Amino acid sequence: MHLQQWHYVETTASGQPILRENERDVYVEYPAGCYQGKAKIIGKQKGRIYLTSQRLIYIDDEKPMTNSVSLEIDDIAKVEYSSKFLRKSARLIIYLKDIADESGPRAYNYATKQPQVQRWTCPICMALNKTTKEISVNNMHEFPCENCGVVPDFDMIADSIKSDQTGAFGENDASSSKNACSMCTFLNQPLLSNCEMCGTRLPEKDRELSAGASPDKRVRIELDSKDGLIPGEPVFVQISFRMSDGVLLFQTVSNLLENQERTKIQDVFNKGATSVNNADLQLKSLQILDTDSALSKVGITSLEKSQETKLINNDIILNKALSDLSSLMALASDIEKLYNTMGRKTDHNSHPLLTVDREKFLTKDLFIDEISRELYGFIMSEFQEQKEKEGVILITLVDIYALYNKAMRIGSGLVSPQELKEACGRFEKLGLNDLHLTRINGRVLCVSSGDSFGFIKQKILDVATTDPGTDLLQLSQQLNDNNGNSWTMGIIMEALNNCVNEGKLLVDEQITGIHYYVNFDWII
Amino acid sequence: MTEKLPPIYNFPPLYTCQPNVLIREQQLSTWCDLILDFAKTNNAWCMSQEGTVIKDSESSGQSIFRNESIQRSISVPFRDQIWNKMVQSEKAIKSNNGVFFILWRSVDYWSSQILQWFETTGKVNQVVTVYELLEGDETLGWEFHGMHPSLCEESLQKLRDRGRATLLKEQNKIMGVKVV
Repeated sequence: MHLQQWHYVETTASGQPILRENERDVYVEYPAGCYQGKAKIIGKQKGRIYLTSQRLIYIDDEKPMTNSVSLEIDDIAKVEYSSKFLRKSARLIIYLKDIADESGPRAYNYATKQPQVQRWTCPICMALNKTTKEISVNNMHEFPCENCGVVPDFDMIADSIKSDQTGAFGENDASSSKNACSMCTFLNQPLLSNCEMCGTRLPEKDRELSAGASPDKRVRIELDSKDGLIPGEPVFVQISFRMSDGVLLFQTVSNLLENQERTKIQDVFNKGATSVNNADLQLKSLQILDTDSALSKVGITSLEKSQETKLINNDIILNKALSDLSSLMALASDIEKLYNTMGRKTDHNSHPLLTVDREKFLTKDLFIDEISRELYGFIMSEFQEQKEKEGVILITLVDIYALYNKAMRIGSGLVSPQELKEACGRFEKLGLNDLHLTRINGRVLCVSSGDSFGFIKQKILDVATTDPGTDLLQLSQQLNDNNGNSWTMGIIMEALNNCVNEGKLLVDEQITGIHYYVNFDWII
Repeated sequence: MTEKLPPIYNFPPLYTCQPNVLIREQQLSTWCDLILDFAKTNNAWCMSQEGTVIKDSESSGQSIFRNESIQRSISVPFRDQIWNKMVQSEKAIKSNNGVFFILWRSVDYWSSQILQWFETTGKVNQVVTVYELLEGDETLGWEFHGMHPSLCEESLQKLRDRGRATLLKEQNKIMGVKVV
């Protein structure tokens, strides 16, 4: 039986975790192993630890797809560090929160913040009155009936007073089966742990039911001995560091936990926003409620007055709403336009990308490994179309250097050509078997999959057979006939040179250019 | 003049020196065959370095190294390579004034042909002038009729080396031959 705090992690083919919306990575530790309680977890003893803003992710080196697990930072109560002692390696002990008592403080937090609305029924006209203030015998004279203006005796209304805490947040009750996001108010499926829209961690209370109901089958935890966890005592897991001392990870996790606490206390609604559409946020709808309670005078005049102010208020609100609506529509049409221009390029993968930052790695070696993984993922997704169509990929290192640095490294520090070459050389070592670094014609370094060079050569020969006297331009047009730019000039040039040197093609040099013919006559 | 050459003559890469060494060897031998073929069909005994046929010490006609129908011609260094190959493989003899004798038959073949002529016509032990041999009516229909005198000299030298002929010289020029 594994702890419910272990979660399944989605990974890319190259063994990098797929991050959630709003999640960003903080630090990477390598190599490390996982323990539950005091027992080793089988199959999770050699891998990397990714610390992100929301999770602590373990990615297994051998089977990243099946053996990787994660812990939510929210689930962590505290961390302790145990240093290396004799044969015992340095460890990070993570105490987890008890799932059962998690909802307590959070629910309380909300309750205190909400204004209490009290309702009472006027005994004379039976109108339902509301107030945010506490009604008692002493201050009863402050609350005349909104409808008839008569102040009733407190005894008469005492029965009808209802304090209604959730009045203002009524919709929360109505949809208790849904789980509202505290950041964007989106109503999520109760089974989700993070908001579908913005990725914020959802309130716990609903989730805990579901978590208890069905543990994630994709998480496989097998222990090599008893974990020694006693029910009732705090549960803990450990991360053992195989090479490094792990102090850095410990410090970053504790920092993260501290920050997490701080941000939780802050109000999350419209956080950081000072105004919405130029309207001051401080201007709350409570103002309107104030006018209601401010009506203190008795009689028909005051009723008329209150009616007038109500109308004016309604006008103001309506105007505001309309102007908001029109600006929203303008924005919507803008977005629609933007969407139409970008229509062709639908982004399948909208997850935020792991930023592989130099500072997150203890040694350069780790950094290059991570670059290698990222490169692999990048090439596989960037040249996916070609891979599907032709079955092979062949790109010069120069092209990759430019593409990768422009697409992925801006903002996180460009990689040097040397680093790129090293990273490409490590594909095999990291078990990324689809790509490898090759040197064609003994000089041009390329990343290729399978026998792509042989493939392109065969294609060139085919073209030259059907169309003798073809030149470079024509070749590249024919090869890239139906899909963009998969074969670059440089690659075709090299393949041509190789064919000529091997005697498969004959050249006919003219002022107009070099024309290529298949060698049928002069067989070697 | 070049119409009767095999189709490879119209293959454009033939006119570019191929970078692959093994291929170039074959390209050169293709050229040698072409030149021999060309010389034979045009009954040309010697050719200039430019690839034109020389008759009566005047070059005439078009060069084999220029193909007007596909607008290709050969570069000078590559042309020299071809001639070198021709001489090396004993398919041409370079004379001192930059003219090549094309040996579409080997020198041995010519000398035996001449010998055969002497024997069949019963001219053995008679003195026959070179002019008679090459331009006379009696050699009409023989392959060596019309042969270039210098080439004929080469062939007769062979006969003399074998001890079958005595050469009559006048002013260091072979004028007549007696086959024994």
